[in-house]
Amino acid sequence: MQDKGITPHPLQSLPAEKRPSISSIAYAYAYILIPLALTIGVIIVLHLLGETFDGSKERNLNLIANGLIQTLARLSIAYVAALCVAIPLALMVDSSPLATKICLPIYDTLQSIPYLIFLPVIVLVFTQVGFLQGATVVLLFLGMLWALVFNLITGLRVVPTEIKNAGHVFGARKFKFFWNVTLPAVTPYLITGSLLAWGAGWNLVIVAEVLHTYLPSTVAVKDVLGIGNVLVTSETTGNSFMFVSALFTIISIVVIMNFFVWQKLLSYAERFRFE
Amino acid sequence: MQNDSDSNNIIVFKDVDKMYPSGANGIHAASFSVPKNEFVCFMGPSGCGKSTILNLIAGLEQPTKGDLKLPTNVSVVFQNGALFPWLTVIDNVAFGLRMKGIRKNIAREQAKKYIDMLKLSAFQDNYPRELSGGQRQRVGIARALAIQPEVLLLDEPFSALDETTRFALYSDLLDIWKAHQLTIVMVSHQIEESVFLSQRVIQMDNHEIQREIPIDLPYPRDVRNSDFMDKVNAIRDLLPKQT
Repeated sequence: MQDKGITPHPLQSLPAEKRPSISSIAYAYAYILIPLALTIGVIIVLHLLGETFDGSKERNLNLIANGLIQTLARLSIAYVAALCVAIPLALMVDSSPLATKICLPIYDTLQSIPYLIFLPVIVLVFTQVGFLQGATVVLLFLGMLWALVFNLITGLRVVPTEIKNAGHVFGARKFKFFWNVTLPAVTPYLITGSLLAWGAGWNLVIVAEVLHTYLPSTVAVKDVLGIGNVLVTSETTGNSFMFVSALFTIISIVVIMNFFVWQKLLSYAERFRFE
Repeated sequence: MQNDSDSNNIIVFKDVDKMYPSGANGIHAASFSVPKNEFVCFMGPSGCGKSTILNLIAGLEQPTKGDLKLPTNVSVVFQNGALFPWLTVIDNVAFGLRMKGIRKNIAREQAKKYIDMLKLSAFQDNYPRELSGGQRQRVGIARALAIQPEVLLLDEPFSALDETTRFALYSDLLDIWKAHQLTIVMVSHQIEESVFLSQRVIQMDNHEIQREIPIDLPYPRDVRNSDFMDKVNAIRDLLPKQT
């Protein structure tokens, strides 16, 4: 019973399921305010940058925008490649108990080898063919691969036998089974894996885009443009405004992607989850 | 025992063994046959192998030994529904039709018929997690019927439901069985349920078929009827004493 004389808060008068929860209010703020603040921050920095330094606002802006687009393209290519490799690797583990016994220790070992130790080799190979971009993408690919593989393996393991049986009974075979049963069933894990993979990718960008530093000075090679490259180069050349704006851009894009891509996908994937 | 060579039998098992490495759930020397349009119920304690028989009939598993005659068009209602959580009710029901290559809107139209039959119209755009246990099983039955099977297999589909919901589903299932001239093979561990629904109870224990008990009571059956209770008690007396 409601006590006499106490007016309920307007939100409390709503039925429980219609009341916005604390977390949804927090999300609403986060969705709007954080990206907004970061975007404004970038605009201000870019503005200052153009005015204060060499007066060429367009050139600096172009550099940042170009770098960002190239980095995003590179990360996307590496992600798609990692996904194409991770799915068969994970399916292989799930194919039989014997395959699990053989594959899992191999994957564990492979993922624990620090792939950056192969960096000079990768760079040299790609320099030989005059395609340094390739080395960057390979590096990002290696950084993204295992988060996807291990999340997919976990996802495949939690698919209930009854669901797999239902797929078979109702005529899903081979690719149809993969597309209509396996893929939706592992979607929550695929999304978590993708989020982690992109996180690893962003971490690597500042290494992967300055590969020329790993080459002997005698080797002339066209550098890879990207936001990570802009960040490192501006720092080493003492262009601190450019550095700060590159930093801001990276943080903004990561936060924006988190709120507008990953959070949305994660909440969408809830319906894919088994109870 | 039915005559195995009788072409009227839609399912025939002859000395079928199914062994698992773990030793549990297997079956040994199972022989039985199911004629068209019969409603037969396998009954027995957990782990006695009754679900394995369903899996063999559904083609989900292969026998270790023995001969099988199986129907080509089988459908299954699973114990916990096994609905696809990412599909709405109507898309779950249309799933089997979609897998046959039927276009989405046509498959949905056909699914609608079974949605109406199982009284699910109000929930057709809901996701399984938004439904009660009874509604989910209704979706499971609608999905199984939508592919128009010859044989419907039910794996303890009512075990998690309350009594009112269960009896409502029993009467719907019996109506569907008669209207569609289906052959139904059900697995249950409840004597009352088996006697209420089926024409024959095949009792299993310890991985083997123990006996077949015909249930020659007329439909609709009444649980308070003395013949019904006699049958239930007779079966209860045949069961190994539970400790």
